[in-house]
Amino acid sequence: MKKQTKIILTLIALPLIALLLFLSQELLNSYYSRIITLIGIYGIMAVSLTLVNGISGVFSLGHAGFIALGAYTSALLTLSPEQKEMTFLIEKLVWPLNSIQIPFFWATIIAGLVAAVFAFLIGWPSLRLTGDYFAIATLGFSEIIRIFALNLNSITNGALGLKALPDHTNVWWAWGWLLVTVACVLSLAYSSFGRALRAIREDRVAAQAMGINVFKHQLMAFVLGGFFAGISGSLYGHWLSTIDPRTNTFGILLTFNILIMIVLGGLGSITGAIIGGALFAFLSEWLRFLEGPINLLGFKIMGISGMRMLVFSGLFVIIMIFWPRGLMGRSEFSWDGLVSVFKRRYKR
Amino acid sequence: MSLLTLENVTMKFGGLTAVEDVTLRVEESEIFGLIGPNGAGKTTVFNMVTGHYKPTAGRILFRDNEITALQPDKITRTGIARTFQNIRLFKDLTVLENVMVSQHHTIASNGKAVTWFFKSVSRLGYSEKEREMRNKALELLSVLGLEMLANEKSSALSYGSQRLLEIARAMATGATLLLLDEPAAGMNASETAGLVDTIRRIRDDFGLTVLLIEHDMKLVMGLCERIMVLDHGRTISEGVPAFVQKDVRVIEAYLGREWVTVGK
Repeated sequence: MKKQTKIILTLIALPLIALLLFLSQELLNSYYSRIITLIGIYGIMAVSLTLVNGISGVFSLGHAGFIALGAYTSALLTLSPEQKEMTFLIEKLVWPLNSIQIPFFWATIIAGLVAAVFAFLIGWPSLRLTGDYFAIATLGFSEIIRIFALNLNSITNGALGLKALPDHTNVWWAWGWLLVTVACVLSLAYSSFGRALRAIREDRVAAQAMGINVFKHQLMAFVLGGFFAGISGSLYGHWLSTIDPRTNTFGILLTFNILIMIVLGGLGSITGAIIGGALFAFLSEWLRFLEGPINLLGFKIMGISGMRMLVFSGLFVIIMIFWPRGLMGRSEFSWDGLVSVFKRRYKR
Repeated sequence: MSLLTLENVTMKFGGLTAVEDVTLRVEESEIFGLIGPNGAGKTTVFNMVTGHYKPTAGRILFRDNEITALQPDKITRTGIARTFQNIRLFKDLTVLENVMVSQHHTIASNGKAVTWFFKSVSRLGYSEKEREMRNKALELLSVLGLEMLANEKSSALSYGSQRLLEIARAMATGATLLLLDEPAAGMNASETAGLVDTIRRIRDDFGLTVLLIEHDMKLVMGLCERIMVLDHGRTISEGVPAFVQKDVRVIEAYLGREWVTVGK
């Protein structure tokens, strides 16, 4: 296929997606449009973790920590001073934060920057570790963030968390940021820089012997991953409209959920990450019917809570058996690939 | 001025002395062979030169600049590149990408890495440099006869081609000194003969200096201009192939003392 054709197809596809999103807003009820928003948010989380775990080969388990940082940062910036006055019951919020309120967009940017700064501070010492050791270090970091959130009463409101966040996150914010994330990560991954990152993933020793400063490259990928994790945290917080440090919403479970998404989609594939995120959001909502009472051939089964996750894990195992490298493997979506899939179908 | 100088280099791993007091000079644009029985410390010498190991004692100089115990990537940027005994290609990358990776440091070295990072994200001034790198990589591949395989995954190549690709990748770093660690291992006789020609050709055409480790004596004796023999981490002989071949200590190291006294 000619390069021009591909560009035209892409230029047609993007507004088409936008139109579909618009129609979904108009036609579907708010429950479905919320799920579509969630798909966008999961997409950002998965793509940013793909950059770190899939492309750079840095095995990070700290993603939820950056997401939580982003969520707290932007929430503290978008809540009105009056709301903060009412919410912070244990201790008063510290000075500059208690009297400012800025627009959602800038709050999200700042959330990303704060997460990126923390990613730098974590990555600087711990990227000298490799493999499992680095994973443990980042796991520890995300746990530290959680503990701080629970105890730093004058900033995070401790165990009470933050409530009644303004309902800013809609389909447009989520999918718009997803587009930005994908554009950045794609152009990075398919540049000389990304090639170097993939070389490091394949063979660290050889990459270094070819003149690549492994530490610096991995650190930069880690910081960019942290930035977009912070962005997704801001969106997620305003989607949930509460941040509760006692539950596992922003805890280690979130990291593992994102890991499931990117492994499901294919570790190292950016389009795979989005597909994985969409599938995860869709399945975990759709399978909810399993937890309600079911009428199965005349037998009434009472709802069993947790059944959803059981079936979900089963599905996950099945996918891993049939697609051991995930749905997309390491390849990306391409128009050529799509055409060849249809051709194969047609020949049969 | 020698291109590469090792001055009384010693490498100890705990109680084990892998390399002891080795002094070595490689002159500009020669092909120098490093041989010796298994476990003699040849690869250890390579690992010290390329910065993977830090010598316990001694100095390593490249063009009269000390490079002892610099980071491997820094040493590569000063102009020394290597291949690996156990092939270490970037398996999931294509042949072309493998060679292009080696040129990355020319655009992203030292402080420039950050700027290049933003350039990559924004794609500013990007495609021109990329095309340049691609052309250079293709040129190197055709020198080694791999241009037809440019878009294959490197893991799909035959063993012999993988060894050649390792050489192409090392050359793409822009190095003037190539360290080849057993380049002919696993090659058949005709491939080995081709390799000898190739190494000579790249030395002449690209003005390179080659330091190589090899067990194939026919290759070593035919290709190398000077040879150093290591045994148990010590230099036991050094000189032109004809001299080394006849050196009693070398025969002893390879075939045992009895061969020297009785065997003849």
